[in-house]
Amino acid sequence: MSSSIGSTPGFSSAGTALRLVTIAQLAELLGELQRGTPGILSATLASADGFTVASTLSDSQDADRLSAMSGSLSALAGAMTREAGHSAPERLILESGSGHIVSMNVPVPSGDLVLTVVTNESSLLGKLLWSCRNTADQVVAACVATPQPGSAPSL
Amino acid sequence: MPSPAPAVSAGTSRDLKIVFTGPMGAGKTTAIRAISDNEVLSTDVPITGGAELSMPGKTMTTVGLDYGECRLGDQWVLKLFGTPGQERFRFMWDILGAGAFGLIVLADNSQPDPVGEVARYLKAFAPHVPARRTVVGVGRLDTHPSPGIVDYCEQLGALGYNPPVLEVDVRRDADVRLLLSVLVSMAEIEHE
Repeated sequence: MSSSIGSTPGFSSAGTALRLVTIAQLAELLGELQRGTPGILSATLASADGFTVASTLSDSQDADRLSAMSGSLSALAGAMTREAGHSAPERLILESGSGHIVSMNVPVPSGDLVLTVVTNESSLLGKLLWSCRNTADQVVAACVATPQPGSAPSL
Repeated sequence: MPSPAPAVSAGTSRDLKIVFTGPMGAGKTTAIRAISDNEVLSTDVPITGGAELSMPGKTMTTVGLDYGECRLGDQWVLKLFGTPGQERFRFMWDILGAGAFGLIVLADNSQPDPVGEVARYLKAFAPHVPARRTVVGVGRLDTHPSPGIVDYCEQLGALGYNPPVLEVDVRRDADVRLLLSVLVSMAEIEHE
């Protein structure tokens, strides 16, 4: 398969090293995360430079805005832990009266991704963090399992 | 919603917040690194996006902010904030523009429609920074002489913007310092 993700409607040009089939898998993982965890309103995977890779949000503009902000916040969090002499942040948790927003870095071979989950007030933080960690691991596995373009012959 | 800028007064050393903006690749991060007295805080990450990958020699992009500081004479300590260039990070423009004393818009003359790009940033920051505290620095004029400085002045003037426009090599401390000096002297004239 030699399709270019960047020219495919519905997918951003982000992660040009990710195959469409991988992105479809990632979208499925996000759907499972949302369906299997109480209170999740949306789950979005972005590239570190703020492009949407996959999202459960039906409005792509909403997903793109959230992705850009995820990229910024992730980079700012990294800058802050560096400044404090800490190691790289594992996750960023925002709590408000309306629910949680959790953002975590997902290192995959093509570069870091950022998983961002938005919930309502019914979410339980412990369960949410466990589910996000689980999904992040599955995202890494999906990206590693699928041969990257240029690294193996196309099927 | 105009945000109040700090008042300028002569005498003791004063902090001024200066924002560097402009399109991706214009050299905002480079300029702040060239001039800052201390280590610069940066939030740059590898570029993955299609069109953005096509810029020669550019592999990283700022997604949050840059921050550095420099002294200008005895009187001023400039707090330098660099914005991301891309439209998708526009929310950062409003966050960083709030309370800014002055604005430096950097242009890349090798890119299409650089004057239009400058106008776009001038418009986006107009609610935060008064036009009289804005300076435009044009880069890569040596390799891409058109549009020239006069073209910038004419075309921006026709749109109602009349900032000083200077040629700049953002890698050179002296060039960036000149932009800042012009900005600060405009403020000093304003308060004489």
